[in-house]
Amino acid sequence: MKRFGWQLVAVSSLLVALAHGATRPQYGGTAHVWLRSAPNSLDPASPQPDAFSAGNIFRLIYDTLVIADDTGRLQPGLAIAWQAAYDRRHWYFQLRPGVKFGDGSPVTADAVAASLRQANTWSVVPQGDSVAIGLEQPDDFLLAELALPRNAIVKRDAAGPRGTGPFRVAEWVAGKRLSLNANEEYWGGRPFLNSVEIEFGKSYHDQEVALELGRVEVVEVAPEQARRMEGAGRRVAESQPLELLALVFARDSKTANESTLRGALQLCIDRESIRNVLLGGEGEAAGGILPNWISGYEFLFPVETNVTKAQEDRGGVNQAPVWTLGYNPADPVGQVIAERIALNARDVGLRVQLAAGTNADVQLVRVRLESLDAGIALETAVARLGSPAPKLDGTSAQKVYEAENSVLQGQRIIPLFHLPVVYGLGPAVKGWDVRRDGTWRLVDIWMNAPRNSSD
Amino acid sequence: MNFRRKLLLAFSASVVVVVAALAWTVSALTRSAFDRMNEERTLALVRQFQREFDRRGDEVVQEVETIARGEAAARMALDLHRAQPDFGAYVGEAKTIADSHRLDFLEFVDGQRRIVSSAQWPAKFGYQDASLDLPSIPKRAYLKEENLPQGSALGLFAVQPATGGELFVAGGKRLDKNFLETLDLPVGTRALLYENVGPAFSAEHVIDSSEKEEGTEKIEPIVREVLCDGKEHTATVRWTADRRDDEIMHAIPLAGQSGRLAGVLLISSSLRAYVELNRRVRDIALLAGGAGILLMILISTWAAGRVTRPVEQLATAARSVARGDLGVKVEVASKDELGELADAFNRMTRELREQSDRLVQAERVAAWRELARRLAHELKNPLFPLQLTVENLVRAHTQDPQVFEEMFRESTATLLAEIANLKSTIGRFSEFSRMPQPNFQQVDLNDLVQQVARVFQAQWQASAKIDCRLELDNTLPPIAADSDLLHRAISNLVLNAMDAMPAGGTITLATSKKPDDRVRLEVRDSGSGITPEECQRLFTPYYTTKQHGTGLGLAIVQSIVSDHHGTISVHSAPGQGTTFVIELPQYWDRRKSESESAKSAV
Repeated sequence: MKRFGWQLVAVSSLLVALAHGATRPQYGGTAHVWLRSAPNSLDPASPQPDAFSAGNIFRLIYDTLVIADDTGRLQPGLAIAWQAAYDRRHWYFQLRPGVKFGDGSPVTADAVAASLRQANTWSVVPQGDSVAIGLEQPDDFLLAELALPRNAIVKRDAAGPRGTGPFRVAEWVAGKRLSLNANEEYWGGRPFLNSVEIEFGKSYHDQEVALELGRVEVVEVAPEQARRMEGAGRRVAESQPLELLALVFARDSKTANESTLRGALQLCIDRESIRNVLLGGEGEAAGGILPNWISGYEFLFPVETNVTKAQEDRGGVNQAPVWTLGYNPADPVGQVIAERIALNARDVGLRVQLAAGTNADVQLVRVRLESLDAGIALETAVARLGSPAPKLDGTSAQKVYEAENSVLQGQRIIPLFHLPVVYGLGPAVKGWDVRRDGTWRLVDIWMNAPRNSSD
Repeated sequence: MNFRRKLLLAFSASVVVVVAALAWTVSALTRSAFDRMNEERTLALVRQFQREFDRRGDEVVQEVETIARGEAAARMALDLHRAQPDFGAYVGEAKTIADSHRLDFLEFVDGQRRIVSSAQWPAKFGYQDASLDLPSIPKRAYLKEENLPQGSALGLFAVQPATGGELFVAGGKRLDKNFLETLDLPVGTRALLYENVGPAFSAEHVIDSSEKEEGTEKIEPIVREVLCDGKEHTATVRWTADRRDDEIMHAIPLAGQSGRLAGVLLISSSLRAYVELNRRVRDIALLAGGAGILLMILISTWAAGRVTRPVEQLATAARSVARGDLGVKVEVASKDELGELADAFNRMTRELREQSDRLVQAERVAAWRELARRLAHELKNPLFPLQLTVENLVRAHTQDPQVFEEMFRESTATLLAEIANLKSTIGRFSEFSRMPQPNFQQVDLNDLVQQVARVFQAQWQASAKIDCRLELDNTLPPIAADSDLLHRAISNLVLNAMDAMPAGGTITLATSKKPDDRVRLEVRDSGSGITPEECQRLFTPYYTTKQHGTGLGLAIVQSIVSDHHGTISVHSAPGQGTTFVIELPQYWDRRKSESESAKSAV
């Protein structure tokens, strides 16, 4: 009996060891990723149609001086220390020593200064192993700015942009495919994966099918499909709601009547039905541009539907124009949401005609917030929505609120929902850290059963 | 208008009338046949449409039944029993099911007519379908206007309750171009469907089975008529200025749910074939008319030639006869009435010629008799004194020689005088017979008249009884004349005037220019004048009103004037004197050329 007991203990220990081995990080393998949109180029300073997705890719190849974690706190990147002068206009960054670009050349203050000048209008001066950044105005958002992918440190030469990130570019077929190999000399330590294969231009449906067939390890998932996929037993990783779905008018309101009608439109939209039915219960009804978890004040903006008030407002205006509501024809849920908004508008006497494309009076737009810093997120989001940049007098929540409120009072933007960024993961992906800001950390994942890119 | 033209016009008019009547008849028959064919074709197409409509309706009913009994409908019906049904699970369900059953419209509606899932308008979940009359669901498919995000459309719908009875399935197929294309349309026809889904007529609601590019606004009137009275109408629609593009539209009302007019079916037949046929008929008619007219020209020319040529020959011959040419003869080319006419004409001219010959012969005999009588008279007058003188002389020979001597002298004187008289008479006759041909030269008539006046001036002054007046036109042009002959003629007229005034008087010689390029010479006397009867016979040879005249003076004058291509006339009345008027042509150049040609011929 005692002997049998030892044998049982030995077998159990072996099983536990095997189980532990399955979750233990291991090197090797290739992660296959499918995405809908591709970056215009691999230069992070260039404008990107989907800055959020492009930012995730750039973070694999490049480093920034400072890095924002998923709580928004800033961590050392290529800069190991920084200091601001008392006037908040002059900043000094001490560079991480021993870091090399992809071509083996060291990251010097000159290279960093040249890279930052490419993306900004700041005065950047190399000073030994440090760089000094001079601003025209005091800027409390500089560190958050420097954490954005567009301010990544890049060495630009005839062979193309080179970075210091965890992966190096092996092949780039613009708009179609990007092959990355692990940077053996990465200052943060070699990534577990040997390589990453990213393919672009894949629809949600194609991505889901590929994930189902085991051809890819990471795909994007439409937020409204997240629950269904979870219900079907798929691995789904969701961020906090950081994609803004909003109506954006092509121009500012010019008359009081127009403002009244825009207010009526805002009031008549049944966000609850749209969220529950069309968005599959995902996301949050949005009254502000920034979600509450970033700004902390979003609850101050109303989101309730008030059809009676909307009808009264509409009744107060003799003639209402026929608004065209544009939507992205490649976004089927967006189209149905636009249809529903048109129906809601019709209920209160507003005339809204749908129009596929961007040439419309009012457009249904999706914008992903690029930063967890409220000020930066607000600035970039408003800029992407085509509105004039808000005036931010400080980094405090009060100042950001005032700026956002000012934007919303202009009635050019009607926030509708904040949606999470959702990824579908293959069963082999291990170590995927669910991040609130929706950014990838492919450097931290490993494959349970590594396979070669030729598989 | 001559006979030939009349004949041509009559023939051409006949041809045009016949061809036009034929073309009209053919055109009318064509139109009638086309209308009949069009009517039959439209009827067949309407039946075909009805069959296709029924077939589609049955398909829709069947598909909706299948869906209503399906697993998805059952699951949905069960879900609806929950306190808070999750509509989100079914947003795309209707679209997926509709696609798999090839339906254009599909809605799942709960017992309160709330839309659970809509294929045609997914965003309409939770809204009520007001058009659905659940208590009285028709068993067959029916036409219904369906609201869509981009407007409205007409569909063939069927409604079925799902298992459990709390869920209803309303599905349908759109009456669109594909539906119309299933109709087997003959060449030249097309089917259009007007969806009566808007507040007013809109060309956007017209579905056309063809690729015709013209706008559909022109069918608005006929559609309006059908919408107004709900009855069938037919009209011709003109699309372009080209009549070949015209179409006959037959509009049929399509009843929808609860009797409302849901649409209008338009069966259109192109008039191209008819118009082209009509144009061909017209072209052929024009061609035939043209050819007929050309043929008629030839025929009428030939026929008119056959008829009018003998008539024209007769007319020409008649004109020749009128000019005095009795020897003309018309050719008798046929044995018909015209031949007989020509033959009669020939007989007539022959008889006229014979009568003329006889008349000439008779006149010649009469002239010879008159000449003999005149000669006898002229010769008898001197013979009687001669006889008396000779008898007196014979008688005196027996008497005293002194008496005889005296008688002899007197008698010889008398004999010589009478013999001279005889010689004078014979000389005048001889002169008349030897009248020469004129030798035309440029002559100033005024000069000639003055010469004649100078010849007689001494005689007139000696007698002191005759006064001469000259009234000469100084603008008188020269004339072509023989001055000697003309001098002689004027002298004869002056002598006649002097003879007409034994007691004296006034002789007036006047010249003037006539507007017809002729010159006029008047010789007037103030004598006793002559009667009209005498005037008529005055120029007859050997006629004289004088006791001792030969009757040749005025005949010579007339002969000279005639040789100068002129005319002479006399105006007189008893007691008012006599005026001889000579009119002569003034064509000097022509006379000269004639004279020269005559000389060269000689």
